[in-house]
Amino acid sequence: MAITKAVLTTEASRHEGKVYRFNLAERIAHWNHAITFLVLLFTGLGLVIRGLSTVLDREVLLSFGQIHRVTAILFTAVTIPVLFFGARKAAGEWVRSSFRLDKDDRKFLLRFYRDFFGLPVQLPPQGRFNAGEKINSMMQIIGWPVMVVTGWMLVYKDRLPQGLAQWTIAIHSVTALVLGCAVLGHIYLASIHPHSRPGISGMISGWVPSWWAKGHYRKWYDSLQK
Amino acid sequence: MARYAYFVDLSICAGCESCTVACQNKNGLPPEQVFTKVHREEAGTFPAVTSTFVTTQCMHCDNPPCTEVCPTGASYKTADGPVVVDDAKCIGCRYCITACPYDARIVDEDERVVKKCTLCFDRLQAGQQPACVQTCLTGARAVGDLDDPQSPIHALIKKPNTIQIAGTSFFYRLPEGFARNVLPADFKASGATFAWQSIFQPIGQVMLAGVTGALLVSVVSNAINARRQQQEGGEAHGDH
Repeated sequence: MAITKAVLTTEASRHEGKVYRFNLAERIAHWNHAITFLVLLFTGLGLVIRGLSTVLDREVLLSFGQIHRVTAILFTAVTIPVLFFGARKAAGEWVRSSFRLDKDDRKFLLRFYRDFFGLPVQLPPQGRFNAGEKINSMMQIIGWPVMVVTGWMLVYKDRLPQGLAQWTIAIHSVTALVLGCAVLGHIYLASIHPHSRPGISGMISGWVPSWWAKGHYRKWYDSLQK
Repeated sequence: MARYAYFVDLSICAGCESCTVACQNKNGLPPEQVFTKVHREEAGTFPAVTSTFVTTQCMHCDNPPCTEVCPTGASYKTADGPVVVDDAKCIGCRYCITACPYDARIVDEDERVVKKCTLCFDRLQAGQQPACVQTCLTGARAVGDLDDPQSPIHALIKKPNTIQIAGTSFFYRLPEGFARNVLPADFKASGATFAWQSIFQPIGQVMLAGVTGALLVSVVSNAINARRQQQEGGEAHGDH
């Protein structure tokens, strides 16, 4: 009994000044999506940026093709089941909220560039995800099925009608480039940008500093206090 | 530099397929893979029916889409006209197969490369005829340089019933009683390939470069900001 109490006390003190942001399933789903997407982007880039083949050896590019196909299985099959079984409610709310931009969100998007470049700005209060994250989420929620469907179609492109195969390549490539842009911005904001990077602990331990949550997601933070 | 053109006189083609076999032999192809195909076309209504053979292969397009979509530059059009593949650069992505309007490419699964008729470019460079031309029993096939006034190709392509497949290096002479539609279609650029190569891909690359640039500016401006704040903090601290 005393030991349990001691453990609980240590646990509580460890999370003092922090709020719980993402559960284990959300974190696993996020990292599966993130890591597989980056591997797919990197191994597929040789197909959309011609100059890369002058830098990389043929054997390397051939092995990229193999890695691309194997990684695609994890990209396709893991994220949704993990969210479904481990974070159904949170994932549902995330999808719904991602496509709802309120007045504060629109204001946020207009002013965010100032924060991005380190200029002084007063950003409007945000919910569990800020408007920039909502845009990124929209792109991922729409982009993921596009990449999965067109990607698996391309594995069997020899069996598709020629025009369909050509459009499939075009859509797969352009969606990859657009999502690549979003991911670059997301990684930068999550790991380098001085104002937003404290949030990365939310995707590692699940906990984020309270002061940071209060400053960045005021509406969400207030809802936790109720 | 030459400007090679290919002529096939279908009015004397015997359909013997020796061109197919000579090409397979020259290129080390297995029996089920061919660069040069021969098929039969019929015209008329029974009992007044006639037939001809039509040969097809890579048409060596003027603006080949296979080379446009090749991400490594392995497929390219030589200055002399023939479209070839550099095995050392090919990564077997098959984008060229998807783009080819004439179904003229095959995959070598063992070497993981795409292969095609090169108009026997190595032989042409050595002053020889392509294997299919050399072996043709009836002399129905010919290759010549359109820029060489002495080349017999000029007389051949002036023969009656000769049709150029627009946008390609190929000329066919049709037998009497056959219409243009038995021949491969004129070259037509694909809307999808154009959109992908000339619109989507450049825009995507510019976006990627733009985002990278914005991130770099952000890194610098935030660093300057942090230093300024540090200095202001230091000065304020010194004042106390």
